[in-house]
Amino acid sequence: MRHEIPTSPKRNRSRGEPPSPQLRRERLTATGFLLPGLLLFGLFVVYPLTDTIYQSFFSIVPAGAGAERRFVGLGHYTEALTEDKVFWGAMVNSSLWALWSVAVDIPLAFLLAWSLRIRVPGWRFYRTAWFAPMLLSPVLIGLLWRYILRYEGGLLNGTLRLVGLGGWASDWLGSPWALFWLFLATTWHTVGYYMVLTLTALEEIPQDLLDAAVVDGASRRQQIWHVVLPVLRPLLATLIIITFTAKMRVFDLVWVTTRGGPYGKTETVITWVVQRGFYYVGQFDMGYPSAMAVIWLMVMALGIFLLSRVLRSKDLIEY
Amino acid sequence: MRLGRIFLHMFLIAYTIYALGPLVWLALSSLKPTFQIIADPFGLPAVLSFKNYQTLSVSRFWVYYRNSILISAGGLLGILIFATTTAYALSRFRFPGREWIRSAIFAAILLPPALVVLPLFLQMQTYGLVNSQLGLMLVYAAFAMPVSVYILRDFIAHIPWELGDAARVDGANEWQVFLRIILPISRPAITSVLLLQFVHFWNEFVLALVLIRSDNLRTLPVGLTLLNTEYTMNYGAMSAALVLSAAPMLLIFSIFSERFIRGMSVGALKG
Repeated sequence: MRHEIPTSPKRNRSRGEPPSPQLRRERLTATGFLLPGLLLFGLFVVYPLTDTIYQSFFSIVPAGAGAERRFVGLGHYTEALTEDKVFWGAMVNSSLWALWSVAVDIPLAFLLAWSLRIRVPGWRFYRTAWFAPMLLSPVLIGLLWRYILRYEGGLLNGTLRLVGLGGWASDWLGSPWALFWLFLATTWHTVGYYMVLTLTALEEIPQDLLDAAVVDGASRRQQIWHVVLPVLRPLLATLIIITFTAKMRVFDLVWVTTRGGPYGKTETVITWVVQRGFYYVGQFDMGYPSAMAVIWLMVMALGIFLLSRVLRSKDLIEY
Repeated sequence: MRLGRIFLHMFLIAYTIYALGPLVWLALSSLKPTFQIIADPFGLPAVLSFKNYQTLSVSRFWVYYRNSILISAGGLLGILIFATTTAYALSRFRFPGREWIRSAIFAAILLPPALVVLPLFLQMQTYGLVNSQLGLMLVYAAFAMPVSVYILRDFIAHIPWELGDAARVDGANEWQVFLRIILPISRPAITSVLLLQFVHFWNEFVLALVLIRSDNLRTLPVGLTLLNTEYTMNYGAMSAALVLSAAPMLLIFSIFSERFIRGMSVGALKG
């Protein structure tokens, strides 16, 4: 940090000239503002990240009475990518989750936001009601949905028994369909948020643009197609990126409901990393989970990069 | 056309039942004894009883609750100190590596804390900050930096330069300009950031799970999962616990709903 030279935006300094006392004072001030935050960020965010990358090339092996760290190169990476079926299953689950979100959550959010934009009766109440689940924590959502789906005293089985379908009652989170129910829980949780984002964009469509479409004799549907969708397209790109990143990092919800079970059917990459890091039977080895973490970070970064390239460039062509 | 409208309304009502049903059911369950929750999931409480809430008063629930308030407050204080100064430095001063630092901070928005929690845990151990509430506050503030600095820097960069100049002419130094002029003007952005991060802190799970080891220091999200094991069969008490832990969020939302929604969208849409 010491070698950084802060200068005032309006002042230039020719090379070699010793800094004036004023400039030196200003450098000191700038450092004073910057240093505390950078120190905090560096210690607790940047360092753990670089350490994750570093550790992913090592293994902790028993040696004599204790243990020693041994360089294994890309060994953990090849093991994760070629031998670890749970890791692959977790990557598939996380991707399915993102696909579900794009296919279900975003269209749903668009429909809900649109009905608020055309001011259906009671829209203020609807807006609050639909947004409300967003305020709850993933842990709370997890526990709540566990209660909804539990065999005895759950809301779902209770409803089934009430309408005479008690025979269908089941332990839903223990079934092969568990992942689907977790999808439904995240949809319940997050659609309100996507709806609010969409509504913010829709409110920016000038009323006269909507009116003009009506005067031109366009039907409501054509109005949607020709006026609203072009406005929504950049938003759609943003929403896809947001849902993608959100579903790549799912942890809490799965951890408090199924912990990846039954038999890894609901495992996400992050639950598997934490499981292997802290709760794995056997020796403590942070190298392997670190390698999985690095792989996943690269997948996320690549995904976001590709998505923003594809989605944004498509905009340029179609406009 | 008419038919379409009717379908739309039916759909909206159905979605509202989906969105609110679980919450209403939870609130009702918290007022019913467990046997009635099982026998009659939709019924109103036979007698209005707060017995479930009384059960919680003798449990560790309120210890977790107090810890969550304490740690959230500490984290927010950390943001006030660290994020505002960093945001100001990034918008006011020019220095080599500024763009680099800025991109590094903003890129970290995408970093899930759970992926780096292992080395973080070991590092905290060497500082003696494992199982420390101060440690957790610092970590929360650190992981809140990217989004907070992003929103604050954006706001501060749009404050006209001249506003500080009058004070500078009067001999005020940069810190005085920052404290007396920049911070008061930035209050809307600061409020949005604090609201947003309060929700994150109150709800945060994985860092609290790993970094706090003793039970009397734990926060609410982790505490809820422990209570859930303890009260496995007491559905009523757990419903009450969930209702109470959601209460602060619902309260804040009802007071600040507009600002809240705006705060949640600003970070996302500018991206």
